[in-house]
Amino acid sequence: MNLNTQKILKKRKPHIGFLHGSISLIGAIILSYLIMMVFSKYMPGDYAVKIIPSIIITPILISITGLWLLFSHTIILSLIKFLVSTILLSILIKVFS
Amino acid sequence: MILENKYIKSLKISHTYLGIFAIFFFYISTFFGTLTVFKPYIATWESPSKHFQVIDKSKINLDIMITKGLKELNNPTNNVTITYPSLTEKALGMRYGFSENVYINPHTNNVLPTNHESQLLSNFFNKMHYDINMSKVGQFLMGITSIVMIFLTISGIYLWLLNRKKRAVISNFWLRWHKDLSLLMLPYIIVFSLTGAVLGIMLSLSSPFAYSASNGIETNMSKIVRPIIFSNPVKIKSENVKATMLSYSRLYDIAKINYPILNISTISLFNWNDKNARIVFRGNLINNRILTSRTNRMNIVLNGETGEVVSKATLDNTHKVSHALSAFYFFHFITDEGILVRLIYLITGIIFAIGLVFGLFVWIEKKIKKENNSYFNIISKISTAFSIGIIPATAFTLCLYWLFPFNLENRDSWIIGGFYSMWSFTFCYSVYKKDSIDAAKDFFYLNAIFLISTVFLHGNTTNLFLWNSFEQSIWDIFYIDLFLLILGIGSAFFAIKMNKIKFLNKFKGY
Repeated sequence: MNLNTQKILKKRKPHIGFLHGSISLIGAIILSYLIMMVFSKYMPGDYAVKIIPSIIITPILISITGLWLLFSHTIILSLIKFLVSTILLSILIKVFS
Repeated sequence: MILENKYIKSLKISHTYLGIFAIFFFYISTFFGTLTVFKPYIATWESPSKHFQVIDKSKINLDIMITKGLKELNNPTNNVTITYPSLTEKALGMRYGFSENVYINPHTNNVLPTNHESQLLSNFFNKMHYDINMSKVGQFLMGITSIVMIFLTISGIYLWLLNRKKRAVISNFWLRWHKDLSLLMLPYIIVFSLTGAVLGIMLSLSSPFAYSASNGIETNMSKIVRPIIFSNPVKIKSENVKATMLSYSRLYDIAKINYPILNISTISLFNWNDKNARIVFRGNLINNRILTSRTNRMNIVLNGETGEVVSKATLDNTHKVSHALSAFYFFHFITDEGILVRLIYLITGIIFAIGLVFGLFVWIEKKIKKENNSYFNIISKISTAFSIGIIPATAFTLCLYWLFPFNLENRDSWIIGGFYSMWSFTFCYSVYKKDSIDAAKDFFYLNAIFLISTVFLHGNTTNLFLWNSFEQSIWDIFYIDLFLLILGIGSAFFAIKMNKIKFLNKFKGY
């Protein structure tokens, strides 16, 4: 990673920039889907009980996870939050099948 | 402290820019959604063949009407659906499978001549509401907008709570009203943004949940969920043995005796004239309309030959998710509600739309102060055309509907084309006029001309003027015409008085 990229990722800006915002937006959609996929997988009951709540809750969750990612000090921190959560949720979905 | 300020600043920026994106789509959706609340009434008003009184249920002769309808449909014996006359659909409707509906006048028991009646207006308004007449792309955009609205709601509440904590006083006129109206309309916003997100985007993007729930076996949500929540009450095959059926009115009475709280809205026939004939009476429960709305209808199944009760769906033996979905959709569609609830939705829709526009004005005012260049502020012009220009464009559509003859070739295209042309004109006119308030004034004049013309054109085409519908007690048609006339006169009055309304001076220079 060159110095310039490192600067962008670690710099504490007075406001949140376009890259940070975009990461939050895309990250929020992916994370919300993963969280509700975990819910759908482990929720006891028939397919209606497993799937319908996920369809309804995901749009709300996108906003909440979006804010969580947006409220990060730096871009790198926002990326770490996103990547760690993604890995953990993916393990829950794929490994314990 | 610095970080906290940074977050608040970012939240405000996100709220502003996502808000600008969402306002245009959600405003259109709210405007046409508010009109769609009256869809059943508009559908009757635009069908001249249905200009008759609502019938007293005790006077309905099911035997004659269903026999006539079946004959018109070439006597099908399976999958026949009959829509029972109600306040919102005055005629008895009948279809076979996915065939076109045949309508029967319950007063005369004759088949209605609905050849050229397509319910264009009510369907067009509905389409503008859920996909801005852009099919899948529009539906997807509306879905995204609804998700953005949820974000705006959460971030808006957060910002409001922060302001309350700081005891900050909001001096900006637009911001204060945007905040107050949005908070007042909070339940309305939550209901419509959440149902909009689910219907617009989430149902079609639900494959990952189906994949995960089925451990990678199935990705089609509908395939695995539908059989659970929309179970078919009739799963019986024909015996191919002829039998004499009980009369429809007798079967209706048996259903009412065995299920008195069922408000019957549709009747279905299966294996008719066969030993295994079934008749299904579906509807909502009189004492629980929320849990038995359009996605969770209760039913009673009778044997067509003997009238014996085969099965009965009650709230106790239907799926809990169906109850939840029913309640979820109830507040969006209000299918079984009367005029009072629909009028409340009209008022809340108008308040919410005003709240949205005020939100946009917070930004426009800020921009104009910063750049000091109001004439070329294109957003200001677009917002005038979007928020006010859409009103005469819609009135023009109503006017064209009654102006063009019903047998005109490509009639639908001419009318919808007229709507878009008028809407484009309002935008050009907003740009042409230096002051948006002057453009708005002319739009209200135009609106008045179109609405008043519509009432007279409707009377002229159907030979049912306002005074005729009053004399003949056709109240739904009378009230729609009266409403349009009052709206037209009110619009002209508002345009005349606009310059004298102090509040509107705030718009000067935009």
